[in-house]
Amino acid sequence: MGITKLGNEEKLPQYFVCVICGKQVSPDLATAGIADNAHTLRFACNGHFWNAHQFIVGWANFLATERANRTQRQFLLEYGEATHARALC
Amino acid sequence: MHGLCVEARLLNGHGSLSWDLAHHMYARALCGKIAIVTDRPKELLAATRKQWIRICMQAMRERASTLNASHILELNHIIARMQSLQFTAMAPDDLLDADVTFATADDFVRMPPVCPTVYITYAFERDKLHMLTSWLPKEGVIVVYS
Repeated sequence: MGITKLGNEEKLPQYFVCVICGKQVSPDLATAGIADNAHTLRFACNGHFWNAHQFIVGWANFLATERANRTQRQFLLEYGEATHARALC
Repeated sequence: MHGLCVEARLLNGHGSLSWDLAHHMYARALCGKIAIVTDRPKELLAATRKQWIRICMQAMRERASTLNASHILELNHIIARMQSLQFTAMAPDDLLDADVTFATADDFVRMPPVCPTVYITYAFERDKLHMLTSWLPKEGVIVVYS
């Protein structure tokens, strides 16, 4: 079970990085989440479903980090620091 | 299911369908609207909404228990989104009106959903599956329960 297909062109990787615990997880044990700032779909371990605290806070952490990166990039772009902004993407 | 991410889920006696749906939706709700293909839309809506409210209450407890300002801010956004989510079990006439729409495969074949997440909770003909997922965006996710 788990992720069985990833887009049309993309080959299923050997593992995904869980956004909650940061560990490598095989596609069989992964669950699809939300896309990051680079519009890449991110994944989490299936097991986190069973720990409500870890699950809720884990996704909130991920979203907070993505929001912070987006805000920082916007700030750098506004002040003409395009090189740094591109490096953040 | 051209260019879509497909996830197969097996309940295997661990948790109910509504519990698993609500948890999966928590991670996907911020992406946009959700379509749930089910043979019993009203029953599944009631059960999933109950589980959704439980997760919302847990998120509120997490917000109350943390002192981290960025966590509180993010949980505020998430809780506001969770509380404003609209559920419906009425077959769509045009584009999806509610945030989460429960309907049968035939209803969705008549009016294919344009949303990034579709949950398939029962088995039906494969050609119907292709028809109802024909308007999903490229980065869409299909979750198939078996």
